This record gives sequence, structure tokens and C-alpha cells, in this order.
Amino acid sequence: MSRRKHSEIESKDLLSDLPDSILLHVLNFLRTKHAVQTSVLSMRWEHLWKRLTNLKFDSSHFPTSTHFTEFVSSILSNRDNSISLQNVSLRHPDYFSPEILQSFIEYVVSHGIQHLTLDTKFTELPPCIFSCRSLTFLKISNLSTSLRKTILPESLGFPALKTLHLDNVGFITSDDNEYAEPFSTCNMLTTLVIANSFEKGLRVYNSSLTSLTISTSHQYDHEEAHSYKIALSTPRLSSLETNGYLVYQLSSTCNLLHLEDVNFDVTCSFRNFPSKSSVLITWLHVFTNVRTMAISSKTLEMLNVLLFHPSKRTNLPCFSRLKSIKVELGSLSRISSDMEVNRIIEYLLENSPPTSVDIYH
Amino acid sequence: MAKTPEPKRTISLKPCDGDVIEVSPMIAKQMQTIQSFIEDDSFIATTTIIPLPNVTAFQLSKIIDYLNYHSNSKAVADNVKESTKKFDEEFLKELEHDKLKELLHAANYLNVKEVLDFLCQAVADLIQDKSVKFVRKFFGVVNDYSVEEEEDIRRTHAWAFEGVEED
Repeated sequence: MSRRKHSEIESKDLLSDLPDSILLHVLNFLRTKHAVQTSVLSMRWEHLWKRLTNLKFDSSHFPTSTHFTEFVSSILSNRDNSISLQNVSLRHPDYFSPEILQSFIEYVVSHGIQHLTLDTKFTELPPCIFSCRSLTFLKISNLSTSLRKTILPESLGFPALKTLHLDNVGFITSDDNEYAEPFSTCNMLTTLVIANSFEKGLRVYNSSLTSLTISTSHQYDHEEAHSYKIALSTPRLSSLETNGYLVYQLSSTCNLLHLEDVNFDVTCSFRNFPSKSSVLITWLHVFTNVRTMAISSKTLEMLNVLLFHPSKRTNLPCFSRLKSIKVELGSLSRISSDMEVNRIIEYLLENSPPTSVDIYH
Repeated sequence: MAKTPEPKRTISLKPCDGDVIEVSPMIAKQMQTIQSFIEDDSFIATTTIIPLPNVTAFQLSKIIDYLNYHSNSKAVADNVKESTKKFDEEFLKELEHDKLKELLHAANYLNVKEVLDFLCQAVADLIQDKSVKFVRKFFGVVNDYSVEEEEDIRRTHAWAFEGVEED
């Protein structure tokens, strides 16, 4: 016991003369629950956590939903109200009471929140978030597995938002519109990720957007889904990625002259392949002006089946600006030889000038 | 009054032990403390040696290593991210706790944000979910609460100690 005391005193002052700002810097990287627990270290630490600018709430570290809810409201009512918030994340796989979620979002919005991540079950968001002038990054994932989706308004607003990730979120569409068009008012938006958003029609209309990712993690296989559409109207788009399952038909109302990179990593079950192949062709047409295209082995397998039919090949676009194609072959890929890859790529580029092909194993 | 930039100019830094270390202006720029020296009127790039009485040669070269590696590997592809991660892991592996804390002091004194962020994250990773005893020892905190006061803090913050085992 006395030896322990001795070594404690010896190591004293190693960090104790660091300014509060550095200690806070460390605390800001901790889960908030643990950051608050540092209040028992010593008197100097008692109130330090109240000046946290990053808050990480994760219900998996609480025994019950009630404990978690109490924790979240205790933090908000005990922290130093004069300190702005930068980065807040909340993860709670259960249904969160709408009132609590509402007051939580109202609190962070009124404290200058910049980055907000929400992973929980919820059906709507309070209006204040859509007009928030400090918010530059927003990621919302609705963890509900039922069809009861989170519905966002027809037009999103978000005056300062640069990055938006939406997972399992839907939009209101007015009755006379075939397409939802939520992003046209996001004037600062540069990066958009749309995951698992099964709209019958979704128009991505945005003049500042440079990077778009569309991903679908569920197998969504019934016939009707292949009439779902995404229409792009994004003249500045330079990077387009898609992964998961092939669902939507894609189209673009502009030529995407700035398109530099495409990352094509989708798969589908080969049931109803004829209707899927026409979906696939719509994507290739949107890629027409791309410079570099990366193709995964799953996508290559799909192209292989598609391009086996000479009639389909006549529908292929001319990739006139294409500089290089990268193919990544996974270890489990059914296509394994470079010769096979080159044959498929040759078919793919049937209507295009020659380009370099790099194959990674 | 346009100045022509002089190529290959280096900044001389003198740690409290060991010889002068030369760094590129690009690296020096990331150290706010050095930057304010450079912006001072009396600073002459060719002759001025900036004294760093609070920083050892070991600490300075570690910080420069980190900045060099990260400035060379910026804005590149995935395989570079992989090797950067490896570099970061190796960088930390070689540091004992005391050395890590000393380096935190040095990075704070030099006011170099990128290294501070990295080291604070590393410290957070080290203490996350550790016992109060461990964290006190790590930071060299002497507990100045009485037993009753500490109990009181735990009681009033009970909402944050749910499911936490007492030491």
C-alpha cells in the first residue's frame, strides 16, 4: 500500500500541469459516460466534463433504456450551457421516446451543433434541425426494421450542411409528383450518401454536390422494385459510388461532365435477370463520361452474364473519356483469370475507345 | 513588394539536449510556437536558431517524424491509409506511457494540432473503460477528495456510474 502511494507521488506532475484544454481534448475522445466518470479523479476534474464539446451517447453501455434516457437528460441539464457543441452522436437501437428525442435535438441545435450522428428508431425529426445554421455534417440511420420508416419533409433545407448520410429514411412526396426532390435547397451540400431508401422515384437535384453514394444492403427482389428510379441532376458530380444490391434504375438529366471516379460494386440475384439487366444498362449510361471506373468482382460477374447476350451489347454506351478501369478480384470470385476479366471488359467497351485495365487480386 | 520565395530554406531548431535539427518550412508551419518565431521581425532564416528549452531532441524528432510521414501521405488512396495506420501503430508501440505523456507536453508546447489530436486520441484509447485507479495513476492525479466527498460525487452522478464496478 505504501509502495503504491510512493509511485503515485513520483509520477505526479507528469501530466498534472497540462492545461485543462488538453485534458478536455482527451475527454472529448472518450465515450461520454466514461468522461463524466473522471469527475471522481480529483477536485480539478470534478467539473471538467461539463465543458465537453463532443458527446458520444451509446445505449449499449447502459443496463436499460430508462438508464440511458436518464443519462442523456442528466448530461444536457448538468453541462455548462455556455459551451457550444461540435460533435454529437447518439446510438440507441430501441425506440426513443419522441419527446426525449425532440428535446435532445432542440438542445443540440440551440448549442451550435456542427456534426450530428443519430442511430436509433424514430419516425420524424423536429423542424428546427432543417433550419440549423451550424450543422455541417449529418448522419441519420433509422434502425427500425419494420416498414415504419423515418419520413423527412419534401424539401430539406439545411443551409450549412456539407455532408449528409441517410439510411432507411423516406421522403414525403406531393401527390402530383412522381419524384421526391428533397435536396434542391441544400446549397452547401457536397457529399451525399443514400442507403436503403426505397422511393418509387427520387430526384437528386443539387448544383453543389460532388460526391454521391447509393447503397442498398437488403436483397429487394420483387419485380416492382425494378421500376424504382433515381434521377440525377447534379452538374458538379465528380465521384459516384454504388454498393450492395442493384435496385434502382438510374438516369441523369445532365451530362455529368465532371465525373472522375465511379466505384461500381453491386450485385443481384440472378432471378428475373432480364429486368435487372435493363436496370444495369441504365447505370452504365449514366457513367458515360467517367475517367476512372473501379469494378468489383461481384459486379463483374453480373456484367459477365449480361454481356454474354450480344443483343445487350448493342445497348452499351460509348465511354469516350475513360482513362482506366480497375478490377478487384476477391479470393472467392468466380472469375479468376486475367484472360476472363479482359474478355468481359472488352465486351463492356465494345462501343468505346481502348483504355487501360488494371486487375488487382 | 513581392518577395521571391527562396527554395530549400530550412528552419533550425535547438532542443534542450543534443544538436540543432533542421526542418522544412512546411513542417515548421504546423508548429504554431515555431510559426510565431518565424513571423517575428528579428527572425533571419539563414542564421536564427530557435531555442526550445522545453523540448528534448527525442521528442522533437518524434514529432517531426510524425509530421513528415503524414504530410507525405496525404490525399492518396486506400492502400496508403493502410500503411499510415501501420505507421501510427508502430509510432505508439515504441512509446512507453511516460514517454507518451512527455510527448504530449512537447506537442502542447509546440502547439502542433495534428500531433496533439493524434496523441489525445491515443491517451483516450488507453484510458477508455479503465478503472479510476488506473486513470489516476496514468495522469498522476493525487486524489484530494475525502472519502465522503468522493462518495458524494458518485452519488450525485449515479446516472453516470450505472453498471460500473467499484474499485
